[in-house]
Parts: sequence; C-alpha cells; structure tokens
Amino acid sequence: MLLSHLTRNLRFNSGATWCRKFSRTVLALNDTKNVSKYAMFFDKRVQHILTDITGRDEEKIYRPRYRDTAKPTYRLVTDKELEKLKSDAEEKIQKTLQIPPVLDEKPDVNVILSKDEALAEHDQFNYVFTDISYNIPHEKRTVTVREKDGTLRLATNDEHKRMIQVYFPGEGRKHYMPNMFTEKHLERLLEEGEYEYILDRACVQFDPDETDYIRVTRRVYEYIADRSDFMKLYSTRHFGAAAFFLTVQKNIDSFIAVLINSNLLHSAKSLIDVYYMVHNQEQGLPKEWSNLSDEEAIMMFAKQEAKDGSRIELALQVYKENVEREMSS
Amino acid sequence: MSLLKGLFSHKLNAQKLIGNVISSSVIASKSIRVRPYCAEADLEEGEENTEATQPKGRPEHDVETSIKYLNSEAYKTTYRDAKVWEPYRRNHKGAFAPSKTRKTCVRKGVMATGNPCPICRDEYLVLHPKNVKLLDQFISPFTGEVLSYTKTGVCQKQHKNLLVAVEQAWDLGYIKMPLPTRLYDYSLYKDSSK
Repeated sequence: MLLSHLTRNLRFNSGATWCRKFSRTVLALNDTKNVSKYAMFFDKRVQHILTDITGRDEEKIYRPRYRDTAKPTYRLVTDKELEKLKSDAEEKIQKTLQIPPVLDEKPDVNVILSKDEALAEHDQFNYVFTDISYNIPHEKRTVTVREKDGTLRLATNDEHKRMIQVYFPGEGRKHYMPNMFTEKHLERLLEEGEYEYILDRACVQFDPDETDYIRVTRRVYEYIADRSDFMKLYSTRHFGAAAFFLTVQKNIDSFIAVLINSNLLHSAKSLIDVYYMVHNQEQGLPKEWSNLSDEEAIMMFAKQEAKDGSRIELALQVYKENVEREMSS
Repeated sequence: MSLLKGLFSHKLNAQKLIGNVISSSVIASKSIRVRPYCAEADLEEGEENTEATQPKGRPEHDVETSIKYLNSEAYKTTYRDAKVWEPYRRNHKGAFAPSKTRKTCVRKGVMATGNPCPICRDEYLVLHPKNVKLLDQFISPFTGEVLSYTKTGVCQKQHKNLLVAVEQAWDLGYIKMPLPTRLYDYSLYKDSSK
C-alpha cells in the first residue's frame, strides 16, 4: 500500500525505457499462459463485422450533443471542396463510432526492481516517482515506488492510475469514482434506460481494462440482454462492444432475435460468424457456411449452438410471415 | 396577521393554500414578488396559533415539497412556461448592471432586499441534486454547463449552492454531464492481450 502521497518528479532516461520494457515482458508472460477469447476483439475480420453491424442511423449520429455549439453555416462550394467536407464528416463519424476495446481485467503488477537495504528507514514515507516526459501514452508511463524498507517496485494499477490523474487529469474524469457507478444508483439509471450515458461516462472515467469499467459495462450489457433492449444502443459506439461481449459470454440469443425483428438478418449472420471465430478457433466456420443464405445460417445456429434456439426460430418465423404478407399485399 | 387570517378564513387544505398564496401575490403585483411568510400555511386546521409558537424569519422547505410544488398547478400559474429566472429583472443604478449580483438576499434569516433573486424570492424553490426540474432550468441546453449569474441574476450565495447541487447531481447521475468522446489507441491494448 502506498502510505503517503508525497511525490517527486524525476526524469529517468535510460532507466525509464528499461522499466517499461521490463513491465511489458512481465505482462506478456502472464498472458501467454491462457490466451483470452477477448483477444479476438482486435482480429481484423471481427473488427470489420462489429463496425459493420453498428449501423448508421444518421439522425442519431448527428443529433446535437453538448459541446457541438458551432452554428450551422451555409455556403457555396466546388465539387472538390464538397468531397473534402464529406470525407471530413466521415472521419468524424468513424471517431465517434470507434468501439471501446473489450478486454480482460488487467493483471495486478507485483514487480520488485531492487532492494537497497542501505536505504531502509530513509524516511517516514514511501516515495513515488512518475515519468512525466512527453509523448508517452499513459498506459506505458513508468511509475515506481520506493518503500520505507528500501525496496524499489513498480506501482500497482491503483497507484498508477492515481499518479496519472495527478499529473494528467483527463477532461471529464474525476479523481474519485462517481457515485452513479455504485450499485444503488447504477440500478436506478438502468431502470431509467440511460444505457448510453452510463457507458459514455464509464469510457471517460475508467480505462478499458480496469476492474470498475468491466464491472459497470458487464452489468449494463447483461441488463440489456435480459430486456432485449439492444436497439437503444444501435448506431452508437457501444453496439459493437455489447455484441462482442455477449458473444464471448455465449449469450447472443436475445441479440439475434432482436436483430431479426429489426429486419437486420445479415447483421445477425455476421454476428454468428464472430461467434464461430471466437469459440471454434481451430475448426473455423461450419461446412458450406458461406453458401448458406442468411435465414438458413441463422436456423442452423439456432439448432446447433444456441442456448435458447426456440426464441430465434420464433423470431425467424415471425419475420417470414411478415415478408409473405408484404409480398401478397 | 388578522388581515391574512381573514383572507384564508375558509377551510382549505395545505396544498390548495400554497397555490392560493402564490397566485394571490402574483395578482397583487403583476411581476413575481417576495411574499410575506404566512405561518398558517404550514399549520394543520384547528391548531392553536399563538404569537409565541410562530417561528421567526423565512421558513425552510424540504426537497420533496419543492418537487411537488414544481409539478403543481400553483407553479404553472405563477411562472407559466417561463424558466424560473426568465421574468426576473435586476434593479440597479445607471444603465449598466454591476458585474456581480448581490452577495445574499437573506440576512439573519430575514429578507434584506426589495428585489430578491429568482431563487430567494420563492421559498419553495430548493436547490438539491434530486430537484432535477429546477436545476435543469439553470443549465445551458447547448453546452450542458451551468449558466452564469449575469444571465440568471441569482445572488452569489444561491449561485454557489446551485453549483454544488449541480455537481452532486452529475455525480449521482440525476443530470447528464457534458462528456468528451474518448479515442482509443488499439495498439496499446493489443500487446497486452496477446
């Protein structure tokens, strides 16, 4: 435990890079033992599918948000300029729809760098050293602690986050966990259906591999899955994250049913692709998968893999009846 | 006191009385004005009401009463569709208003000014994180930040209370906070998850 908040800014030079390399190898060693299914999140095909199913409801994406205070301007532009403006707008959309990474919890760091017994009882406090040089992402910043008994160790995750908050307080991020993430208030917000706000604020407040972030987001995704309320997240950056998380948890039956109800059959099939990619890594997709139509593929999934296949079949049946009715009328 | 008693001699329950008192004060002076405290309003019917038992100074109300008031008919007839601070006009010497509003409207529990600020003039407006309907009126719909006292005319003391209440409401999630869009560098997390 960190006993004091006494800090000193020190610029490590060669030491800093050494520490960073060291911490990275330690983390890598811990993870190779059990390769997580969440690592598939960064797979290119998975990324492509997740961004594809997110949806582009333009009214929702371009709705006025706080801070977008610039007034609309009207002007005549050439074709070239118009193309430039369109590509700028597209870039902005891609930024707002970037899916927050779905990760495993970060393992706690317990690395002792050196033990200098000559320094024992050097002071009444622990000393924390933070590398505050420019151009280092905060995740890779070296923070070390000199304990009272003379050992020098890397800071724990909690200490690391607190030091980053001291030197680089992010916009919208508080130095304490907001009370809306405590169980009592979180449940209230969930009942009100404020999923997007909870998730947006969790993104700003926490890092994606932090314990609290994972607790809050999992609770929200599971709550949505219980109520089949997915379309509230449609066309937001959290849609793909929710889809991927529930896929890893093998809990996508209600998600697929909702997609079918919203006439998004192709998205449902893509999501099943992700399911096979994550869970059948060696075998890959089932035979003749690419030749199957969307409906057949979903039916096959409902019979073979789904926990609650009848639900998906029912949704599919309702969809077919609707299509027939439209054809006849 | 006897005059007020005469006004409200007919039997009314407390809720109706709140409405009557406020709307009558509006009729009396067109614009919204501070209303003398009426001790009878808070007392049950038939209770003895002697000079000695009456509390002195401005009464304080809890949030529940305030929330009920903001949803009541009395509130609607008083403010119509305007925000609480919209019909308020600061009075000052000369053409330009002082850069800051007054320090406080209430001193030693007694109204110390003839033109109290929008929050001080109506004792049923309680600044509290749960009172979302009231706090929302002081938040810009464009930026999500608290409006300046130069715009709302709220006294310095109440403005401070307002900032505290809004911060608490943000913390508890009663009001949505303006948030930046966070961008992620996937390469940072790719390394550690493989």
